[in-house]
Amino acid sequence: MASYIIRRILQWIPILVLSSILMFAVVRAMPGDAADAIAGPDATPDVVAAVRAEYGLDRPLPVQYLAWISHFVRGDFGTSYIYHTDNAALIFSRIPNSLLLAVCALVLAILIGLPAGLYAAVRGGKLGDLIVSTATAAAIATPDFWFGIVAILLFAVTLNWLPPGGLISPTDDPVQFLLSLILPSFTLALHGAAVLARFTRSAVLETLGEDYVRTARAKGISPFRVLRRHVLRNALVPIVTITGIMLGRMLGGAVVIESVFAWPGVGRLLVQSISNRDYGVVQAILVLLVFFFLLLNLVVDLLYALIDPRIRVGGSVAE
Amino acid sequence: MSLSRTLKRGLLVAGCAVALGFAATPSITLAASDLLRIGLQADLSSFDPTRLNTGTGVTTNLLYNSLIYLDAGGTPHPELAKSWSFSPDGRTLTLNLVDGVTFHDGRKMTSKDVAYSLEYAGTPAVGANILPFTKLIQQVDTPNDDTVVLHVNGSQRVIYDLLDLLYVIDSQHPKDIFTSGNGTGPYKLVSFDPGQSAEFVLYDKYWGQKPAIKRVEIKELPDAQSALAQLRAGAVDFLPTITRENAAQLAGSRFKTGIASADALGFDVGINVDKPPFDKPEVRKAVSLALDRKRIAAEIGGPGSIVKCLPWTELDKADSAGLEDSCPYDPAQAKALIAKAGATGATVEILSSGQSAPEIGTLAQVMQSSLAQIGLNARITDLAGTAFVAQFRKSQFQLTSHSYGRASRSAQALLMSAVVFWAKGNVMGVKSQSYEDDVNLVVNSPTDTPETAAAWKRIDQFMLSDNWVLPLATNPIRWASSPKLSGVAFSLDGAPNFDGAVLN
Repeated sequence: MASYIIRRILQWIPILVLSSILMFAVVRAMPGDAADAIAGPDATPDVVAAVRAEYGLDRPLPVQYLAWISHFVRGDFGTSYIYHTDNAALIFSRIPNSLLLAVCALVLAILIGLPAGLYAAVRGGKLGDLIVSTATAAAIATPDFWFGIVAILLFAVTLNWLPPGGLISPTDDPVQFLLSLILPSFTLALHGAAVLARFTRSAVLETLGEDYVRTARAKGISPFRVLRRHVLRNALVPIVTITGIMLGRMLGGAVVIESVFAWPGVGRLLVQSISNRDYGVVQAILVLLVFFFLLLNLVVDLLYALIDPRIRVGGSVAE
Repeated sequence: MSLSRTLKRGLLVAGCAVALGFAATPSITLAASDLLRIGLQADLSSFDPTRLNTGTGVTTNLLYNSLIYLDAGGTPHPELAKSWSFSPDGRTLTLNLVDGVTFHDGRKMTSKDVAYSLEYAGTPAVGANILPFTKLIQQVDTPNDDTVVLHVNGSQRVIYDLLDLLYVIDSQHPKDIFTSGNGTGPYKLVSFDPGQSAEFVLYDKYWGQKPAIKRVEIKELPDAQSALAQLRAGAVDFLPTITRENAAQLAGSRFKTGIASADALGFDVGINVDKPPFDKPEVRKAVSLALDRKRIAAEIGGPGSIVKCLPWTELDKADSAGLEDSCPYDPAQAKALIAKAGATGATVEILSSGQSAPEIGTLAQVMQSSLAQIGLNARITDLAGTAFVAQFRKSQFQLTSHSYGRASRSAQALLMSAVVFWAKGNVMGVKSQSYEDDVNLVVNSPTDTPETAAAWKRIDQFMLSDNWVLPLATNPIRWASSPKLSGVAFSLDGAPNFDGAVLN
């Protein structure tokens, strides 16, 4: 196991190097640069050139890349062109907030999506299945921002039960902190829960038709036990895969939720920085997201072995 | 589902929240009568007052003071300069500074700080948008700590605009300007989370009349609808910028709305005179005739929008007397001109920044529809802010739906600062030695003379005949607040000032 993990981590090095080059190239290929963003449309070419020189943007791209990556690997993420603060401090002040929101949303998505999907599969083709399928289809089709705004209007403006947005520090007010998590977490979880429910339904339905399930039933094992020990366990592998992907998406892709709920997360920082062409921030966040996805993949692979003993990490499927 | 299971689930959610919730984050504190909470839709990126964009504009009057301030009538009033006088030839301006002004770190402000502020704004690499105005200052003398002597070579109107926009910064710690906000203003920065929030408290050694509000919190609320919901929910007291749609939604409610500046921003159509078919003056004239300015003011600018034919403010209209109706809406004549130029059926491109500014995107669509009526097929290329700027600066467009700033400033200031009106290096490709000479004359003459009056008339005529830029209407800056907030004042550019604000 340990050697497998070390081997996997060593494989990350070329992936991270290649992705850093790719991201640097893509970010620099965007029209306009930080000098355009800083100087604005009414600046003369001389002023734009002076701003470009001030931030070293006039140097050849390979030189800029080597300068950035050599500092990055030493933990120096540079200074933001726009915020004029240390990029590492800026990014790492947002990551815990994004992680908090993503994990809470994922927990909610699992708590809602997994039982709903299971229920729909068990009630296959009946009214319960129809209700779950319709509800999940509606949830997937509902834009996050719409649900978020409606939730704010209902629970914060009309009922005045929950804060309308922002993250309240747990040290300032633990109760308000918990309350401030509810609306953004539920809104972010909605889409994930619906996807998970549909995925679970499909995986469980497929497993329910397997011979070993029929055999278990024939042996007189209770339906609940069949579902828990034989069906769910075998259906869990694809569900874990989709859950891992969902967590990654919730961490870096919750931009709309972060905007609607004024949540200080890394997703909105990424979008703002792309808009401002704040290269150092964008590149650092993207590389960190790649790293996070690699880590998540490893965790998911390890979980496979935990769920299904037939799967051996680092080797082939056992007999 | 049993109650115990529900409880377990609730505890799991709460547990996960607590376990991960120790990130250091700014807080939303409950409202108090001495706490003003502002929701900002723009990016709260730095406290450099030379940026003067929507994001920094809200914090500028909290943290800094300018030397003078201009009222709505353009009359200068004392601020850090308690008095001033021009020499008889208008080439030397002596400013006497208020005594006992200190920066938030306790250091006394001196004339050296004023000189440094001018030098900083005039440094090209800073990218200050008042840079063109600083070029009118040839030399700065500081004979003593309380006196600044400016040797100027330009219009007094622009000099006053500069002094109104030049916020005095700390010359001792120039590198901290972006994040420390160490100014002489009524509020002192307490905390700053870049791109998220900032907190300010009343500066106890403020030199002027101390405001009634003791504490100000600003947090970014990038989504317009969410910002409105936060105002309705009582989470914020003031929104410095709202859309006209948001203002309409609040109409009839208990919340206040208003116009911070009716004319700080202006809509225009830019026409690249180097790109066919717009190299033909009659095609440019046809575009002007095809645009219904009154409708654009009503439908895009909304209530309070002022129809424009020439870009000048009410204060500068004297020189344009008789030209008010020089931009008629006449699509039939426009169509005839297009046909005469042989351009009927031509495909043209409109460059727009509608991804960043929805109203600019709407203007592009109105243009598209208007041009279709006169026989031109228009395509819209809609870009986000920086991508638009890059393409715009390189003149990579035929037509552009655009918005210019400084529209509420003096005509000379507008000619110097808004790229679409520049006499030299204009991205629309317009070149005219006569126009350049006239612009130089009105910008560099200390006061109005018969020569400058004649030059203004020629400038007006040239704009109306050459049609490289078509001012259309102003784009009012709107605000909204809770009913308990009153007394907020606004600069000519629409930036709020809370010195006289009260929360009841």
